[in-house]
Amino acid sequence: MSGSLLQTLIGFVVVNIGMILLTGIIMLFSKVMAKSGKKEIQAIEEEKPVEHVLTVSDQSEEVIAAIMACVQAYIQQNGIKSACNIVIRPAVRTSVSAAWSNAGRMENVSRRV
Amino acid sequence: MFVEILVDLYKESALSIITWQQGVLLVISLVLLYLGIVRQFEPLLLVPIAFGMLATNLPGSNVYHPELWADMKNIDYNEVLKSGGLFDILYIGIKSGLFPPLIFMGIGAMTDFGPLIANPKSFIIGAAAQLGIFLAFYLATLLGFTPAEGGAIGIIGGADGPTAIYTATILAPHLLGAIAVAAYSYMALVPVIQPPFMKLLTTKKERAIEMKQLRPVSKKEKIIFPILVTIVVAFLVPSAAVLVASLMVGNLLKESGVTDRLSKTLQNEFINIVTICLGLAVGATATAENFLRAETLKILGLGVFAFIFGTIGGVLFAKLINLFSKNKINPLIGSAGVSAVPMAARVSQKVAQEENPGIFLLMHAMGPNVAGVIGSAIAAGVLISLFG
Repeated sequence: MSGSLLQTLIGFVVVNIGMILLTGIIMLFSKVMAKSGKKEIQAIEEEKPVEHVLTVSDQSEEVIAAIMACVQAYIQQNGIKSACNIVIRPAVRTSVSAAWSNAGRMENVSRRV
Repeated sequence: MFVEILVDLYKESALSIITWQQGVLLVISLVLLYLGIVRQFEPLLLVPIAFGMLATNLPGSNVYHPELWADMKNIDYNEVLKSGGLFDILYIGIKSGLFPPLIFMGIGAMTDFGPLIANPKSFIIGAAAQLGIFLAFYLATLLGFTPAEGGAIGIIGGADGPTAIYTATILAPHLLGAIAVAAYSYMALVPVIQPPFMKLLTTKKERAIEMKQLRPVSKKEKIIFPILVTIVVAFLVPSAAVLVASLMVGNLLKESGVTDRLSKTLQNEFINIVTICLGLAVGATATAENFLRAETLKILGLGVFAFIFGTIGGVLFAKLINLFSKNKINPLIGSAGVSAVPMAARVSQKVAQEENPGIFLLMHAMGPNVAGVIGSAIAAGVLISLFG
């Protein structure tokens, strides 16, 4: 058998041995993790559905349409499976100065993080 | 008098010293720029590579000096820093083996190994797809290349740019330009190269096989996986440790959840900066003397051969698994072991959808796809330890 053919076979076999070894180790490791993983998944499934509360004020139809678009984006971003848990309640606008103060404080904090 | 002035101007300009070989390389670089920008063939690498090729072949540009790198075993880095051009300085990052592992860190930070963890058999499918590397190596030696050159050429079949560049730098640096151009061009041509062979080797019924949904993978598994793979591969093939460790550290920084800033940097600015430097430097090595040789055509031919046989190896192995497995796998995912991530996985999905419009194979194909990245890194390590 020529030298380069032997080297071809050796190289290919070594790569396959390595990958088979990795397969075995990962399968073993997955089985070990599966037991604790099952508990985690069960805990997630048994978790009570969280009521997602969004508070909106009484506004025009345009604003309602914009709010619904935000709700849809919120559902998609957070991977919420069912929209049934979303509750929209009417609310009263708080004083403008308090809202702006809060927004300013949050921005300052996030800049420092 | 006027004619004398014109003649003097001509003698001072680059037009008087350009050779026909440089002219040809300039045209080739413009073609590659067209492919990268207009046809979007792997533009992130092909555009800098093509521009590096353009710049280095402009007569009198002095951006790259091949004579500084002629004796690869005794490089005078002081001379490089003193007399080198911009691309000579950038080439230090390639010659020292720095840039490809750094790019692998960024790739690791952008990779999700979930489908691979969920279906570990993908490792073996990914391994089978490295057949193209070794067959191309064998054919290269039959065509007159040395084993080291054959190894550098064969790694094109791994469809992994950083791995190809890393291996070529160590085994055959004089072929780096041709190998890089071949590797990135063929990676972009995966949707053209693979489907005919995928269809040739499978029946319509096989292509329509639907696979069970993958199990969920926990965060703990995704954190332990990169650590485990690094340890196993480093023990088995130490020369592959650099590439695999770089890939896995990037992945760990992403999956740990506590190094979000580092992960974001790796995925964005870090990999972008290294990509620019690597691409320009690789392109710069494609000088007329290095590129315009009969060997370049052979390399281009061997590259496509490697891709084809990588596809064949992966598909056939997936079919072999089906003979012994209760849960049938769609053999098309075997071709995704040619690790052009995620292009090869998308090709598997597309070809399957032609037979079964409702099929969703992408995540299953991602398993062998990312396994192929690890497989090609191990193959590179084996070739380097044999011929480096």
